[in-house]
Amino acid sequence: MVVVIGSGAGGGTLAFELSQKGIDVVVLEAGARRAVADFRNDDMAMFALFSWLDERTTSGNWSVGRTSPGLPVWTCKTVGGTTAHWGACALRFQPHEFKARTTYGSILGTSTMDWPFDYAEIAPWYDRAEDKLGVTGTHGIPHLPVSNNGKILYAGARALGYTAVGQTHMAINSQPRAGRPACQQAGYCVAGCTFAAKWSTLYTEIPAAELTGRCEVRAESHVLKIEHDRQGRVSGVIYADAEGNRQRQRARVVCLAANSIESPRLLLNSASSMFPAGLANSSGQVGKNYTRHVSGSVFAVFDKPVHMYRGTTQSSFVQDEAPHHDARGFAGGYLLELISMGLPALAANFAPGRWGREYASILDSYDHLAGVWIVGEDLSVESNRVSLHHERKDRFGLPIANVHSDDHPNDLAMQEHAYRQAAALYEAVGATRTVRVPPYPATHNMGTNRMADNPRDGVVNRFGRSHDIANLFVSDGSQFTSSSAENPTLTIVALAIRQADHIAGLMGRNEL
Amino acid sequence: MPLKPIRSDVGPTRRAFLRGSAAAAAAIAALPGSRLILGAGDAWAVELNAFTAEQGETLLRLLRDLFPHDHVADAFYANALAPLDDAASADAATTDLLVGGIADLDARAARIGGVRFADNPSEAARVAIIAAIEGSAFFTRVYGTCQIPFYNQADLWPRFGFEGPSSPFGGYLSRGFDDLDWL
Repeated sequence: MVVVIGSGAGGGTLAFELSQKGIDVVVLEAGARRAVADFRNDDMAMFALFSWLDERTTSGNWSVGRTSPGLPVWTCKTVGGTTAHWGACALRFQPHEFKARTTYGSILGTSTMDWPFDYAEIAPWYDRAEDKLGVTGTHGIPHLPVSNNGKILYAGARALGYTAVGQTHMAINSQPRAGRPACQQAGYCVAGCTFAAKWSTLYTEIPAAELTGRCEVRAESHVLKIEHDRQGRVSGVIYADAEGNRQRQRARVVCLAANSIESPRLLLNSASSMFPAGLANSSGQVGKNYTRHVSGSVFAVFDKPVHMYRGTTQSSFVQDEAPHHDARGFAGGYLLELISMGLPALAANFAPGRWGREYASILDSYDHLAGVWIVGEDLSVESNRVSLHHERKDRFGLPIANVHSDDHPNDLAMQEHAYRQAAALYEAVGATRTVRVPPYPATHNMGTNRMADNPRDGVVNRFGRSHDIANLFVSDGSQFTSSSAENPTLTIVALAIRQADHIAGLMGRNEL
Repeated sequence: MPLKPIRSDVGPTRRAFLRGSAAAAAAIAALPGSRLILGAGDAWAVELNAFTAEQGETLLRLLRDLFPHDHVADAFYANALAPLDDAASADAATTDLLVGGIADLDARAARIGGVRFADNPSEAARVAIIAAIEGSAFFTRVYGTCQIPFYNQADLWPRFGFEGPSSPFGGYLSRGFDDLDWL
């Protein structure tokens, strides 16, 4: 019996892949099970319906610590995890990003490492992930069409001399596929796709896993502790069921896929006399090296209408700044991806805490706005970390997570460059005004159980297997060695498919 | 990808009772001694539980200065007071915070102009008063409680050119997602 903790891109995919190979799986998901019929074009209601809202604290000088101190990240607590909410950009890392340390060199204050494997090793798994997700622009699947917001991005990018501008590879059907319809350009992608055109494990991997007869998904089952035996192997988990009663589920293997805040928190909260620093933590790396991407947005006001909210939210992007160039004064690169929001969400997000005429005048131009989102590589810094709060406890009596992040000078240099380029892009096609928007609570959260060949440097090995505990795996973005400039989901899925293959092999050879 | 982590109702729990056109009605009336704010010509009315009409009037003026959209009628701002009124009704400490903050605004206004906050005709003067209390518990509570409910009123969206939910109409696929033709 494999117990998978979490049902998002990592856990949901892993559950399907394992059960399809004939392995019995129990998925424990803290959130409730919803149906596509529960999704509505209502950002605020859907935020309340499926976000992870448990209390957290923040520290450090990052702007999110000021604008959203109680809710530093935006991930989901629901069957399907954050694939309910994600924008569905499904991008491969660039090859050099698997060699961050080698490519960028030693940068003061960072803990950057190369991944244990290179692009060639993961490429076949990317291929399978793209096929699973139905990624546009791969496997003969057409791209999604260009929206109004995209037309502005294209024109501005070309006016600025950019050439790598195009339609984003999206895990949103551009034509009917896998029993799901094509995108209807509804917008509201991040509020849950009402047409199920966007890939989410809620209605793809999870029901497919259940159909094998080997996978049981238990919703509203919040794992509190991973237990181990006297030999130091994990033996099961303790979870709180929907009524708050403690339950024990025994396990031959435990796979942790609870996202980059809860996964390290659970390892730390599972400390025992044998593992006083927490499970899988002989390296001391659990919770450290938290990355969340260099981010920010630019919205631009035009004289004529744009209606940016119509259509797939993130369907076009600019890749010209994604490669690494020493000449820009920072390591790594960034993407410019379309973004749009409904009026209430924009009002709440574009200028946190601001008010008055200048604030209101941007919203008065709402239907004349275009928008783009910056997503770039932030470098690993050991002191950026998830740790247990010393006093505050959750309703189960367990320490809550504190999320600490300080902006590294490299992050700030990249962000400044991106803000300037995005504004210039819009000004090149007639924007009368541009507005810099600070980062939102991150949905891309990575690095807090990082992968390394050497057990001293990381928590898990190249397959996501704990260096310390042979039958404990990490299956989410927390295993990322570095963040790259790309949205993390495709890589999480590729790693999960690969990990399932690895686990099945070990079990088949009685090595697990 | 991101949105604002604010827990909010999907809109005010009570709505201004519209009696005919509320558009562009600049004048409101607070009936002394009552808990009723009336729109001009009795076009709409909002009844408050935790605040007097005069206090409600101060709050409404504050919301208009925080989120100033001249093309938006008072009734929409009055609607956004409902969650604040509900919070104050449910909790004495919140009542004290809000009533105290209102009194402070009016006292500051009286010192510079001899009239209540809502009666000072100078927007610049009112903005200066608000700037002086920015960051206070009162300011933070009003801002945090009313901002999203104000902008989350579907009836308001057409005034900003936002068409809102599209799935019930089949998305924007044949409704203009790529109709931009001026580039």
